[in-house]
This record gives sequence, structure tokens and C-alpha cells, in this order.
Amino acid sequence: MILVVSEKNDQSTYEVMQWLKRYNVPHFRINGEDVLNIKMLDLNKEVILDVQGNEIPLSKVSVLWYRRGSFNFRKSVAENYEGIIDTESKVLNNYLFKYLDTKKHCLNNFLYAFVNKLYVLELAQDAGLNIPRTFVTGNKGYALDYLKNEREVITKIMGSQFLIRNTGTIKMAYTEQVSDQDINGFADSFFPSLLQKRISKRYEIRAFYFDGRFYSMAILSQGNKKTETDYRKYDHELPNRAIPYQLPGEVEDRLKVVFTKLNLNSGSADLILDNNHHYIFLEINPIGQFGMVSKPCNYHLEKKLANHLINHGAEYDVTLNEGHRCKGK
Amino acid sequence: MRYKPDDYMVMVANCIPVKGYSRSIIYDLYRETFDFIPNDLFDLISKYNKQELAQVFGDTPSEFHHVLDEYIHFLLEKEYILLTDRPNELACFPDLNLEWDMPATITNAIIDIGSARFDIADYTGILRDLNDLGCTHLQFRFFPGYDHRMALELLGALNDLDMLVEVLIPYDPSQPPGYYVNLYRQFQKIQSITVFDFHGNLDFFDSEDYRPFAQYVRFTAEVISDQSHCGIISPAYFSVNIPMFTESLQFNSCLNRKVAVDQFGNIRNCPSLTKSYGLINDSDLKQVVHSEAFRECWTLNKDKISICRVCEFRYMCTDCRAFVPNATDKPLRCSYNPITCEWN
Ligand code: SF4
Ligand code: SF4
Repeated sequence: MILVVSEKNDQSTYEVMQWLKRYNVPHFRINGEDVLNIKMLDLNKEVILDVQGNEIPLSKVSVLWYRRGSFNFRKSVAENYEGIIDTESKVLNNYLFKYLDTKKHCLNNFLYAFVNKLYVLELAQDAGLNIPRTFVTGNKGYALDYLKNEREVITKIMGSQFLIRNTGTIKMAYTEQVSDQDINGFADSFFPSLLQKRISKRYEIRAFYFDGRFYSMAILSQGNKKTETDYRKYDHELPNRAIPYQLPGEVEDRLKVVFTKLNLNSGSADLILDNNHHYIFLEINPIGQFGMVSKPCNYHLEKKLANHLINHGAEYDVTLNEGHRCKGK
Repeated sequence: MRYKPDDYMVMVANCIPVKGYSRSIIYDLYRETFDFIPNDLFDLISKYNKQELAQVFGDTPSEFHHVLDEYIHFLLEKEYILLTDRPNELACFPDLNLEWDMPATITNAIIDIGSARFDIADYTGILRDLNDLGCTHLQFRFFPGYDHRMALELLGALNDLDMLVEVLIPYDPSQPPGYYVNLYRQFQKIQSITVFDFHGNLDFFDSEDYRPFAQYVRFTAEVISDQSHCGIISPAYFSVNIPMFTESLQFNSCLNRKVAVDQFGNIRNCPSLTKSYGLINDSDLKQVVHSEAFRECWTLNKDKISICRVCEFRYMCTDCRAFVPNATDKPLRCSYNPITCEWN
């Protein structure tokens, strides 16, 4: 059985599962929103999850596709105990995902889904990729010096993307250019912030990595002032062109080293091709939206991913008979 | 916009020029729009994609250089091409993958219901089969004489299934028009309703309560008594996008992965096609759609249709195979002439 761990409204998960359904392959999806329990965890024997009434013995799982979310053992408890329950939940999550990691074929895993942006940049540089000069400071003097040296500087969050919903408005962390005035307006000491030299870009590249291959897309945004710093600020009238792209082999090889060091067998990498035609590595997002690469480039990643899960399921699965694995049309 | 003689021009991979008899079209599959271009610009793009501009100019007599200049400006302005002066960058821009596939064995279905009486169980059985086949888009067309109570039951049966439905229904003069808006609100799987044979006024759409629904619930005076209203080809129905383009390249853009039940309960490729594969109460829909015979028309793509095969609209246009003089003739209900480029 293929186990899919995701979140409720994830469109890509839905599309991959449509393929699993078409091929008639046994699969089960657990969403981060589902409340689960452990029916039993008999060390070195068997683990049986209870997912809203469905019994899932992990011995029957051959492949895990970890897309996002985690196992949610939430139980209503008195407020003071929530911290303890959270900690206990973490122990269980770590054990269960470790169990799956060692015993099953996993396409990504919760264990490796949270990467540290700063560490990843260092890894990338070690692998021979160019990175933008990156500086973290919470000191006004240092920030002004950095700005003086690098001239054009941007700031972005170090953690993962967030949304703050206020009545009627949504705030999102965009990458923004920083000016002298901005910094002069700060107190002498402020919360440590990431500053990066702004890179003049010819185009931006999003490379989805999976099964040892890269499926890349270039986003041509230069002609369009509004999106020059962060293409997520869509220009709704005329969306930036996104086209299929082929990274040079040596860039792919270096990226592969980074993914491997992070224990990731799938994920998205963001790069920039600067105006001097150098590839500059920006970041890796382990649970990146591959639908946004798959559709404009017609890569059919949803189908490829489903086939990958099925093929690996076949290698490990002893409970399936041939009839369950009708491939092709 | 500037360009230099040593620039190479690269056609953006998801913008694809298609040549017609008298003019061509660039299909902008990314922005989902299109532009007409003269055939000589089509030829120029095909010949010089990924070539140096100096060569294009060199091959063109100088009295036409101003036309060339205009063409290049047009392509740049629309961002149909990008320029690079580094030949080694050319390998970074692969062509678009033209594969088409969908997880669903049947992607769309039409069920017509008129005065012929079948058991509700026959229809709910079909709905379940369609759901198993992965069908996500359904059209229910109710014709005069249909049983309204059964219609409501069928719409309710969709609640547990994974498909959205478009409803076509005759207006019942004993109901206020708002009744149909309430239908839309009541059944979560209804995507849109078209109420035909309606001759009243639509003032109620001005009220706060109803206005938001005006785009989903449409009223028309047109009278639709059976399946024969279908198959009209007009620019209003054109769609420019990757799934439509790639499907049309290989398959029939109307019938591929479609199944229909006509108002007399016949399983067909489309309600207006004459071949029946059995009645819903004694045939297995799943078996039918897996048969070779049923799928034969799926691969009848536009390149096999006379006249359409030289039409610049051929990969954005829905191909009707029901209203045609002969199997591979141009749809009768298309009034476009690709030779003169006129709609008659
Ligand atoms: S073949 Fe023609 S009549 Fe039949 S469904 Fe398609 S457009 Fe309608
Ligand atoms: S001639 Fe054929 S391809 Fe062209 S618009 Fe008419 S039906 Fe469509």
C-alpha cells in the first residue's frame, strides 16, 4: 500500500492520487487535519494507526509519499498540559517517520522536510554553486556598512513562508529591497535579519528535483518592474512568462549534491541567472509546489510521481498481486 | 525594444505558431490568448528559431528589412521571443513536451433525460460507474417531459461523488425564476445552470441576494427540445491552453474520453451520434467505454478532417463529429472559411 501524508486542500496531492486511483493501486491518504490514534505500537513487531476509524497497519505500507503536514494526535486536554502533549506527539511523529524512513521506500520524509536556509546556502557554496553574499545582523551600524558595500540589498525571511490574516487583509513575507532610509528608521539594535546582495536577474529558475532528475522552469520577469524583486507578486494583467528550462549538467550535478546532503529525494530549488550569465543559488524548498512547474511546462509531474510510487511499491510490496498493478491504459 | 545583429531569437516554448491556409496564429498557451500572424512570419519563425538575427537579415532582400524589423518588434513586445547573444544558452530552452494524458478513463459525460422512463437506479448506476472511471465533468440536459422529482434525486446523488455538473433545464412557468438560483445553492455539485424557454424578466438579479449568482445561473429564451442544439462552432467556444492544444494534436477535441446517454437511454459517444452501444438498463457502461469500437472516434483528430486541417483555429476549436455530411468532413455548424478567413 502507498501511504500519502499531506494536507487537506493540497491540489497536487489530489492530482497524484487521481493517477493512483486510475491504476487501481491500493493507497491511503492521511491529512494533517485528520485526528489519529495509535491502536498499537509493539516495538519491533507492528504499528497499527487508527485514522478516523480506518485501521492502517504500517507493515502493509510499501511506500511513503510525504508531501506535507504530520501525524496529528491532538486530543483535547486541559490547557496547562498542551505543551506536554505537543512534546509527546513530537516523539511519536519522529519515531513513526523514522520507522518509515528505515523500513520503506520514502519519497521525502517529515524528518527532512524542514531545512535551514542559512545552512543550505553554505552547503550550496561548498558544492560549488554561487550564492548571493548573505549577511545576518541586528545591528544598525553593521547593516549600514553592508548596504554601503553591496549597494543594492534585499531582505527576506529565514524561516518558511507565512501568512498573517487580519480582518480583510493577508500579509505575506515577500522579498523586499532595503534602503538607507529603512535602516536609519530602525533602532540601534533590532531583530537579527537576513540581508542579501540584490542580484540583477536575467531570469529566475525554479527546478523541481525528483527521482534523480530536474524539471526546470524559467520565469522571465525582467521586463516587468513590479515583479523584479519577487516574482510571487504577480502582475495579474500580464503574468510573467514561465517556460520550460534545461539547467546545464554541471549545475544539476551540484544541486544534486545539496539535495543528497539534505536527505531529500524531491524538492524545489530556486536559482537566478544573473546578467553576467552566472547561476546563483537561492534556496531549496523541500515541499515546493510542483504543480506550478508541471502545468506551464506540461511536464506531467503528477503522473510521473504516481508512476514512481507505483514502481517502488512493486519492489517492496508482498501483499499485492499482479491484478493490482495494471499499468498503462 | 532593442536587438543586435548577433542576437539569437528564441521562440518561447509554450507559445506555438500554427499555420493556416491563408494566415497563421500564435497560440499563447501560457497567457491563454492568441494573435494572428501572416504566413510569411510563420515561415520565418520556423526557419530561424534559435538562429542569429544577422542571418535572418542576410537572407532577406534589403527592401524588406523594415518589415522584418516590424516583425521582430511585434514578437518582442508580445514576449513571444527572447534574445540571447550567447549561443551556449540556446540549449537551455527545450521545446514544449506535447504529451497529453489525464488520469480519468472518461473525462466528461453527457446525460440527456427526456420523457422516456427509466428507473432512477439505472441512472445512479451510471453515475457511480462514471465516478469509478474518474469522470469529473458531467452535463445533465433535461428536455421537456422530464421527471422533475427524479432530476432532484439525481442531483442529490452527486453529493457523494467526485464530479461537478452543468445543468440544462427547461423553465417551469409555475416557479419563480429564483427557484433555479436556489437549486444552484442547494446542490453543491452544480457548477452552472442554464434555464431555457424563459420569457420573463430578470429584475430579481438586481437584488443583493441574487446578484452574485447571475454568472452561474443563466436564463435564455432559446427553446431546446432535444440534443440537436449542440455542435455550434464559434469563437466564443474557442479555448487556448496546453491541455486543449495537446489533446487536439492527437485526439478528437469533443469525443475523446467522452461518453453520453441519450434521452432514450442509449449509450453513445455523443447523444447526436447514431451508433448505440446498448441501453443503460442492460449494458455495462464500463465495458462499453473500454471497447475498441467505442474508442475508434477518439483518435479522429483535426489533421484528419478536410478543411479543418488547414484552418489556423484547429487546435483551439471543438470538433463536432455529429453534424457532418461525411465522417471526416468539416463540421456543418461551422461557418468559417479558412481560405477566405471569413465567418459567413
Ligand atoms: S460531437 Fe457535436 S453534437 Fe456531439 S457532443 Fe460534440 S459538439 Fe455536441
Ligand atoms: S474550419 Fe474546422 S477548425 Fe476551423 S473553426 Fe471551423 S470547425 Fe474549427
